[in-house]
Amino acid sequence: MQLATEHGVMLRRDGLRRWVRHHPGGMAAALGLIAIYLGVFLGPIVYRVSPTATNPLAALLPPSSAHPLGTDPLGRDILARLLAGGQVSLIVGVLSMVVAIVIGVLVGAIAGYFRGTVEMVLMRIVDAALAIPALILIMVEVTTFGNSPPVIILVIGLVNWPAMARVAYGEVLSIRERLYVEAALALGCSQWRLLRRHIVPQLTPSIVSMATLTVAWSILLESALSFLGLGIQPPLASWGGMLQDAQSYVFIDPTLAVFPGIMIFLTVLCFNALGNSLKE
Amino acid sequence: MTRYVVRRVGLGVMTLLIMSLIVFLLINAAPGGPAAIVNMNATASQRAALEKLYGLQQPVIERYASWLWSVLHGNLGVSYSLQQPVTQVIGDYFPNTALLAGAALGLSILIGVPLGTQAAIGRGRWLDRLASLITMMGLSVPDYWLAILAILVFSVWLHLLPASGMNAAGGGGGGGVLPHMILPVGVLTFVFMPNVFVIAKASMIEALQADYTRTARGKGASERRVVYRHALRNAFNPVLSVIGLITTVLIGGDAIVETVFAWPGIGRLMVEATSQRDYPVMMGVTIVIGASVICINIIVDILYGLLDPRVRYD
Repeated sequence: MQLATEHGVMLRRDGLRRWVRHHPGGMAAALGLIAIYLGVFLGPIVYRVSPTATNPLAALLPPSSAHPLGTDPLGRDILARLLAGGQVSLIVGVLSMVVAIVIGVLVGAIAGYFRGTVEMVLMRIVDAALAIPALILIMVEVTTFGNSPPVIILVIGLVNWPAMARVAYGEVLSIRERLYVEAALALGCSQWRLLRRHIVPQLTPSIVSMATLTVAWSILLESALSFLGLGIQPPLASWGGMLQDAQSYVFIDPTLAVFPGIMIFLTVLCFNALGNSLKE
Repeated sequence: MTRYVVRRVGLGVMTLLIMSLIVFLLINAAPGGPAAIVNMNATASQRAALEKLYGLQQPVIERYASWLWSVLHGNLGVSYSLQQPVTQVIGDYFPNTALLAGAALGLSILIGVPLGTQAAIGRGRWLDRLASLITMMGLSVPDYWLAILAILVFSVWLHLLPASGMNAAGGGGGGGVLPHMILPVGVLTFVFMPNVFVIAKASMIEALQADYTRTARGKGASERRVVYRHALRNAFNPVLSVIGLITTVLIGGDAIVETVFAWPGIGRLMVEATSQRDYPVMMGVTIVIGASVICINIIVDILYGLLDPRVRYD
């Protein structure tokens, strides 16, 4: 027993080392994400400038020692807003991914396992949800439920679950035919236990890579929504919202558009690169 | 085959019904309704009159039933904000989106498929590396940011191309639709082409390693014939499904790109209808897009079989 666990740990550590060696890109992406998260969440402790304090006399300043990245049209410090906005984007991205996975895996696994009428009804709902373009569905939902951060998280999660359900459904369809499932059933395992202990854990590899890619997609969606003015509302900072401000000043101060865009781009790039290398 | 199509269309109609019900309930659960938006100073009696005018005092299910009834008669209602029939509004905006979407889709296929094929043949060579780099960037860049940067470079600095609109002269490059299309189509292609490339490359790699490719080579077929007749044809079904997927996204109008470039398309129409709580337009756009998406999916599934005789419908 002891030996078996040790062997298991060794195998896993070996797998990690091999992954690092064969996927330097994935490793770089993981390190990049850690840097972005640490910077955004610990940065404000060091850099104590308010992201919301306005100062009309200091509007649209170029970078200086007082404002390392300059100020926006309302005289707010851009670096401080970048950090605060990053917290919003990263939290929304991760939490809405969790929402999508919980609903998607549950629906997909149940539809794939129980088949019959349940499958028919659930998969039709998945199809219906997939037939509405994401942004349009989000717009409708935001009109109805408002745009506080928790609602945004829920709404983006609700847009992403059908894709997750499709993946889980496909996998469960093949897993349920395997011999050990039959063996567990023959041993008197209850259906719920079978799903929980024997089937859903098998989905982990594909869920992990899907999850990473979904965070990237969620961050893009949130920023797009805030850019349209339907997402995170001012004075709360968000990367998409900062770009919305930048668009109206594109002829006056084009540099406003640079930093929030770069941050979104880098974050999404890292999540995509990590997700792709995990998929392999 | 006929049975398959009939069944798919039947399922599609069912999907559309479920979708319309979900969206109708969602929209009508919104607090306030159009009366809240029309005029903030409106008195309670004015609001009540407005609600009566639009029939909003009836129960939701009754409203859904009457909406459905008129949709079946080809009537999507009248827009609150534009005071025009919704079918006419959508008819005005939809061709513009189709123009943009068609151009971007065509370019994505014309660039993505040959590029994916070449990358699969010369894996790890410079073309593959370059294309993979561009792909990763295209998949990660926010399209509206790219749009702003494009406006900045080509309109503000170089004065080469118009920044927004569809016809009006101004900015640079004069009037006409074509100069106005270049930037939005360019941005959309940059963002959507990578999806085609990734799938084309992956399925070409698989096809080039397959037995039938070895057989074709063994028969002495020219390399060109092996790649384009044998491998590409076998690799095309996954490419077809990603093309279908992109079409469904583009047909909804890339709301963001249309908004940034002030392109009068269906996506922008939806953004405006949402901010004005124009329920009939919101419902109409959703149902038209949903129906198009379902049609595209059915067409793609039928095309699978036409392109690849191994596919069987049951």
